Amino acid sequence: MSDENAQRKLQIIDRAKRSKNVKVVNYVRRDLVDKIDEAGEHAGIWLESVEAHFDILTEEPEGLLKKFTEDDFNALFQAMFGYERST
Amino acid sequence: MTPSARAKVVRALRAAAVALGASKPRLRVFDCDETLLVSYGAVTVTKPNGEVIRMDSATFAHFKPVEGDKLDFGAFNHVRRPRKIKKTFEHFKQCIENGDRVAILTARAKGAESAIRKFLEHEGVDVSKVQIVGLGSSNPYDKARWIDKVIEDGGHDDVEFYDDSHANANAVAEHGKKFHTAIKFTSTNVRHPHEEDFDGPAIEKDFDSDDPADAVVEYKPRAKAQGESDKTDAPKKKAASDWWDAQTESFKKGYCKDHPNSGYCRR
Repeated sequence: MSDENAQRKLQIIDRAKRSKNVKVVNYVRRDLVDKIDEAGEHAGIWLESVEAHFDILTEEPEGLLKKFTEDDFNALFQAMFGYERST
Repeated sequence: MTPSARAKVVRALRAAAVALGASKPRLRVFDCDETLLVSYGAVTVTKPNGEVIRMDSATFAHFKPVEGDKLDFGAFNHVRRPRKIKKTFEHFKQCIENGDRVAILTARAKGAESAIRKFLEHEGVDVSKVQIVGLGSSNPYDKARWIDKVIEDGGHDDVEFYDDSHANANAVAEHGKKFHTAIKFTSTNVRHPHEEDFDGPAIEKDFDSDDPADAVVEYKPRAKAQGESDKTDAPKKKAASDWWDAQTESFKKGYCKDHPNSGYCRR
């Protein structure tokens, strides 16, 4: 499972870098990767759940994502899940 | 003959053909969360002072833990207060009744299989006719590869897959186009459920896993990698109380409403 999380992290980091969005890159590299590690064998279902409820993050951005704009969230979604977010 | 009577006859003939070995059963594969049901999947954070905060999985994505926080993802092993998604759940039950080979393929870990089974039993489903597979992975190609193997081993020539995840449905469809062109193969991306898609309110019951995972992790700040810059757009690290104090009044009100066990509400 740690191999899978390692692969997952690399994939997300790679997509984040391609977005060329500094906020997204910073969040992914500094925070999201830790959360994936912390979730362990539940990282897969946790990420699926975030994908399904992503709009919750954008309604009142707080904490780590407080300064994210709509464009930033779109870039983050693409980085995390590999396809464009439909709004 | 009425349509429903005709459907019964067709089902009976199909079952007979399968029983005689003249035909392989159809394969019907369903994702679990957001496809058949939604359930309360919370991440629990226990502060060093004993305070417990429960938050939904999306909220955890913007929560900044501090050193000493204990993070518990164990809820993803259980099925808590589920709500059935009417259309796909009815179709799922119909497939079982039809004698199809039915599987639930979920990103949840293996430990969740027993909880899902208990939920299905509660809903009157004959679980001996359902294969439940906790892949523990959100890699879309893991689902696609599982289906490939089942088709290869079982010789199925009529396959349907249902998943709310665009990535999963696409990956399975891609494999269908590459490897299963000689058979009937469809991959359906069902939409994330809206209120009108549910079959009533949440079932006020928790279905616990028989194999609860040890999913509690103590948060330790990661050591910076070599060359990693201190410059960041992320907010400065704050202590727990500072985090709470920095939130807006409307966030605090909504948070306490959703998390009545949280010690923040007692401040």
